[in-house]
Amino acid sequence: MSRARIDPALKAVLAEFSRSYLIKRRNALMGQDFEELRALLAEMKDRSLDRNEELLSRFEAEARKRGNEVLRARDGDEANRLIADVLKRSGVAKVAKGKSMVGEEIHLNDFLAGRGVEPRETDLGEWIVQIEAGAPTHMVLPAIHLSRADVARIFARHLGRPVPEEIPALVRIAREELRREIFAIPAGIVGANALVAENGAVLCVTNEGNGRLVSTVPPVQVVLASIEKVVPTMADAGLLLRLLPRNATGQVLTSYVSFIAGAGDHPRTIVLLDNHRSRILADPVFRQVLRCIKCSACLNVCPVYQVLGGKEFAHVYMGGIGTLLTAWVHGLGESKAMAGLCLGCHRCEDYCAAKIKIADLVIALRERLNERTGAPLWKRMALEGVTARPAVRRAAFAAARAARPVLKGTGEFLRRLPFPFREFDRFRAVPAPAKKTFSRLYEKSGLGRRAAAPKGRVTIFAGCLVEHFFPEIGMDAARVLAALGYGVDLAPDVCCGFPSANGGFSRAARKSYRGLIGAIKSSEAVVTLCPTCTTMLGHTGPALAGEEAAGLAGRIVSFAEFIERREKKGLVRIIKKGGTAAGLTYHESCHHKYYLKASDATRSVLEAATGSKIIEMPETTTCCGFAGSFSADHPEISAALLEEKLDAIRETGAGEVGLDCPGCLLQIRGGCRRQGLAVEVRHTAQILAARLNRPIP
Amino acid sequence: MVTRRKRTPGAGRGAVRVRRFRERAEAAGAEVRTAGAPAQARKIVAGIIEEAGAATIALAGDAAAFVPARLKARIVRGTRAEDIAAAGAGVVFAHHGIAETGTLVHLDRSDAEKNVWTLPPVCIAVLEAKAIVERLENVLPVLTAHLARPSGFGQASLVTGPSRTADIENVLSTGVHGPGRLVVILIGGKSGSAS
Repeated sequence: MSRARIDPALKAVLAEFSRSYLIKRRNALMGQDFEELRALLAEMKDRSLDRNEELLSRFEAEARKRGNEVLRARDGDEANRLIADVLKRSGVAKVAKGKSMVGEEIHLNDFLAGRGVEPRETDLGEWIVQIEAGAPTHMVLPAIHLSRADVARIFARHLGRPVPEEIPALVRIAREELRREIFAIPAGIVGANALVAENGAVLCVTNEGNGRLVSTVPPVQVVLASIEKVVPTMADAGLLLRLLPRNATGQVLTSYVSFIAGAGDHPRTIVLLDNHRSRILADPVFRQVLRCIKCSACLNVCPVYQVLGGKEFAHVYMGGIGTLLTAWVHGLGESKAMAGLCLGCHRCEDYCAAKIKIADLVIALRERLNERTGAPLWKRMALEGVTARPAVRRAAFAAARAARPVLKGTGEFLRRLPFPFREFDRFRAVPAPAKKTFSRLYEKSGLGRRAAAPKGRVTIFAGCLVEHFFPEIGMDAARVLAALGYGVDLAPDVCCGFPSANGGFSRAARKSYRGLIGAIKSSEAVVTLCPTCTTMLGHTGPALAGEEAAGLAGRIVSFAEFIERREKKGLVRIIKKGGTAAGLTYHESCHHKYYLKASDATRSVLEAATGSKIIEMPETTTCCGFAGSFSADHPEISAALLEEKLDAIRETGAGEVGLDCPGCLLQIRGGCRRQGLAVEVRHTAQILAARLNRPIP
Repeated sequence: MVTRRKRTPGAGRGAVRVRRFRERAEAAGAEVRTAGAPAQARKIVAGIIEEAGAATIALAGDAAAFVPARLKARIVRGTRAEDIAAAGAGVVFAHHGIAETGTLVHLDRSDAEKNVWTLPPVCIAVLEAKAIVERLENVLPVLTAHLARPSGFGQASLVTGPSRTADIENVLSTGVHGPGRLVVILIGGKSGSAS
């Protein structure tokens, strides 16, 4: 287990950046149908990828017709060599660069320096990072990890004179220095946001204008672009322009957009880089990674990136999408640590301009990593040896239950953990295993034997946490359903398979899931109490099991959605009148919000039940930091995210937090306990059951 | 959303378009002034050059018509980037405007022309209100036609507001590489008050 370093100052900058980004993005997308636009973009990129070679050939021909030289590079080494040769043959000893992530990918600067050509970055952020001798930490804002004081210090050292710590002065200095350099440097290299096949145009989207200067002023010109950038027509480039700046920086358009088709007054060489992209193209699962237009929206909303920044959560490319690119262009091994940093919250997927299933693909990548590079023994034992074997799993939980008298501290929490495990419960009290499982309590209650079921029968799938740690949630869900007139059956206590699937052990996950299909006998609705189980039962599992799952998948419904869809009116009959005095706030659990899109259903049910408006917390949609085994793998990130969540809850002043996921409940309730925050944390089913107008045993 | 809507020309719609262009351009950090006719535009151009204290100005070819014949400032001759960069202001002519984004569209014909837009600290861009279209998609055919000819210069630019950066602490600053001021002079645009 490697520990990532958290820099509190950077974390604060990134949090503020994310907040302002979301506001700007919302304004920039006003009047646009984002869902429709990104569906069009994804379709356009897929169509372009299908014809990639044909479009590249067309681009090559058109660009040549307009006086450009076009070269192809199989990998980074070849691209570096080609570029160095172009510069060498022109007798160039120094080159000015526009921003290019592809240049970073192939370590172009180091290569050129080794060949006696000094590269000079001209994008302000890249320049700062270059003279600092660091690396970019964000695809759009490369120096986001540095404060104005840092920049002033870096400038002062570079220039050998004192520099004021004021942003306008720093920007002015950069203008003067870089202007002087660009005029003195005989060659320029820029990246490309798209290549237009129909006319051989290179599309450059910039704000500073450095790309424009670098592609105009120096007499020797080079463009470096990766092959997936090619699109068929200007209309396709137009679609890209409609989405890229809006989603990237919350601008309706950037300051400068240049179409460079003709070579202009200087010779221009365009280098088209493959670097394993043909292999991605040939991979049916990962091919959609190449839809990426590098807008960075995924980073701007990633809870882990927000905490760690792009130094820790990066190889060269950053975040979830960076993990996927890294695995291909830099090698599987390089992506391993990054793959473990994805929470699997799926928030990025809601913002991706190209509808890339980033979090799902990270899971698929874990699978390949397990196959090719092996998984840690403890993980393999837990996710293949225990969860997928019902008898072993039940025995493990029974053992935990038997140890309860020894383990339990005050309340329903464990004693403080001993030394090697201390970091797992320092920030959050861990619940003790329940005295009796949900199944046992339910059997004893006699609820299941009640004959009256005027509305028919439903099956509750409780999930591990409810069955073994929070049986009261299961009982409350059963009471509410019974009060509404349903006969309630319980699905057997079998793991849904999600932990295995999420860890990249799909064989074990498939086994768990298949066992479950056989075990759920009824043909009625299956009501779930955990969004992660719901995701597995309704989406991930069926994708693994195929046909077999057809009968089950369509009947899976979360508790909140079941009530909202079928019993919104019925609810009013069974609930006591009168609102909640303490005030209720709501935490949106990741799978519930981003995968099931069910948060609004919960809101509507909770408001109907409590008769009052939910007090919305800031950042309600960001992860609480639990994310299953993630909180054990990365307790420091888990703690940082929980801290933010608790601050948000505190800010509402509410006495009660509603949520839909027992995992979030474990995390947030445990955090409240450690911080002495007097707030009740309850599952939606508990909030409803507490307001039933007649007692149900 | 992206299918091209047919534009219905007409004074009413045109005025809305001009107003939207103005709002969007200002939101992007450009200054917008309106002129009834080219003669008035020339006066405004002269005023801005003086206000900017520009001793020399650079001209993109088709902007010459909008610069007063008698001007204190010297006009840069030739096409050397160094000379253009040394000018106190650049005067350019935009072929189109895009209302939806407040963008100026230029069909580039030389590097020198591009440099007049980018290198001096102040960019004065003349735009005819009748050349404003509603959406980006409306100018794509013009751009496509301009870039289609292999014999042409084959470059085109969309410029929205002055040069900007947020690379230090995500705080917006203008003029980092290109002009810190972009002034649009709108000819025939009656919306809003003329400055």
